[in-house]
Amino acid sequence: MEKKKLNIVPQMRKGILEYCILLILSKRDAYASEIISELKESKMIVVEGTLYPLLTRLKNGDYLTYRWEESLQGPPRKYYTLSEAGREFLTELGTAWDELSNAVEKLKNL
Amino acid sequence: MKETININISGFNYSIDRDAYKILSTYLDKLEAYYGDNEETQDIINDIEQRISELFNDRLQGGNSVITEQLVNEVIEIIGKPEEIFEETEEDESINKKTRKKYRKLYRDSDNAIIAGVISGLAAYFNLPVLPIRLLIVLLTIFGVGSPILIYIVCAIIIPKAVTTAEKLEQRGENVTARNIERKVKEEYKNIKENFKNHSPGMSTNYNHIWERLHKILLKILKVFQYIIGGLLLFVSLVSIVSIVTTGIVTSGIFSNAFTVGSEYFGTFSYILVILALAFVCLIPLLLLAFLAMKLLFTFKSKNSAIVVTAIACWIVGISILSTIAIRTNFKEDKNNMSYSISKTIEAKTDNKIKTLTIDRIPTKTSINSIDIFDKHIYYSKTNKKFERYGKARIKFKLSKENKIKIVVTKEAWHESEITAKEDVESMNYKYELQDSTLNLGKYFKIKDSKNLGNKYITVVVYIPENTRIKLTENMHRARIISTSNFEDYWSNSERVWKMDANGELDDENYDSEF
Repeated sequence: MEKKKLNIVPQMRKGILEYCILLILSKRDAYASEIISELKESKMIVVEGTLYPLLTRLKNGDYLTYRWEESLQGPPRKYYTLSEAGREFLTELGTAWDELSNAVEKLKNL
Repeated sequence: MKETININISGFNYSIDRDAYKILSTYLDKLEAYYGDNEETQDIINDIEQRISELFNDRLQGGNSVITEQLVNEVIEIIGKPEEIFEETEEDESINKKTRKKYRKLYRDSDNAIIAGVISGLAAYFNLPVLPIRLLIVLLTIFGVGSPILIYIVCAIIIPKAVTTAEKLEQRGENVTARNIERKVKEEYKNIKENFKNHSPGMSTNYNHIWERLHKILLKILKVFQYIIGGLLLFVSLVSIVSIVTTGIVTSGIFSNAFTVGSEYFGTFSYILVILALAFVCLIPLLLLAFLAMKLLFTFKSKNSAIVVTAIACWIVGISILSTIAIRTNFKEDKNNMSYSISKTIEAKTDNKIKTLTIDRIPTKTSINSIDIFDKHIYYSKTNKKFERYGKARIKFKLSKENKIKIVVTKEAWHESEITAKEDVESMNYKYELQDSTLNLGKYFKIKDSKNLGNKYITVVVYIPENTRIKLTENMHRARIISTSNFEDYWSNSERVWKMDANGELDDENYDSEF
């Protein structure tokens, strides 16, 4: 029973991970490592590998596009950009998040 | 001291020690297997490899030039083990996983391959045991249906080889779960020697190597056929050798009475020589065949030319011995060109009254065995612990023109000298008697000198008037009866009746008498 409780935090994180990625990309275009460091800073992911399938999924849903950009060191990097659909999706998710957050706040202050 | 190898990850060259390399390559295999077989996997793996190279670059700046096990483990820790990644994205992946579960794909199974792994792949795909399918295909190929070879080659070219762990699991329909991959990967841990590049994109250059592959496959098919043919030859030659030796032992009568008769006929020395020569002539080609089969099956060094030359020499010796003896025996016979014969005639007293002449056997007390040498019937008996030679009397039925029953018994002997022939005839002891309407005949006549090989005959000609019946009793089984031209043994062992017609032919009445 104890373990099940503990498992909720990653579950919660997972639920909003895609929202977070879209948020990061709404500020500026970024490549995978930049997204990772942002997410890590805000303690949203534990292992980096998690990001890649999510990026692929978002890309398949046409929320993201990417372009190749030369870098000073090493091979060209994949820079991800929000698409028009992605921005719409982000607003949707934002509303949903606000609602959730309000609901939780309300419950807290009961 | 540790061995290092050079690898290339997304455009960067690294020196990596072997243990670290193994861990890294296994890790990437697992990741790839976990993400499953779709277009995105390579993208994801490429991205991850890029990330790995970034992490390596960050950490190699401190002066380290070789990637160590520790460094690889550190990087894996950062990116996450497949299970951890799986855990964090479980919800969506589980849907994927379920569809993948039932999804079996046909691959060539190079791990259990004999040629190219087509059959083992098929077996894995249909979840059947490999061996019966292989046997079936081999049998089909051998027994006239050669097309499996062509089909096999086409399959070997068209069906992709299971390279990644995911593919290997897929072809068995095992769940592509983290645990299964873990297990499978551990099994294969030692076998992973392929270069890092093999797991990178652009590896599907198989089709450029079709000819190379075809060549390889054909070579392997030839190899398999070499073994099959070798096995068949060995089997056939061994079976033949065993059967020839056993039948040889039985018929040559080395361990039976026939040996004594044979040695009397040829002379002991010649007879043994004949047996040995026959054995040589029959067995040498088979032994050579067996030798060839062994050479096909097992690679070993041998003085082939010496063995073959010796074998051929022995064979020629055997053949010449056989022909010499055959010529000598024939020559001996040819000298027996003088003949002498005596005929005796007895007539039935009450000729008109006999409607049916019964022919019966005078019983013999001695048991007589027979042996055929060069188509000469030789009979012998073991009375008085001595071998005695016998001949079999021949019986002939003719139409009597004088309208009475008449029996003519002719003794005939052939020898070099007419005098000996006459003595032979006189010494031929044959019993026969006519009592009322019954003719009693002996089966054999005794030949005094068992080493005298000249032909000896006793012919009993029975003249029967038209419409008179003859009845052979059941005792006449195996009597030698001359029909128009040839003689043969009479096989019936029950009583039979014939009627003489006007043309001298015997009409079979046995069916009439039954009704």
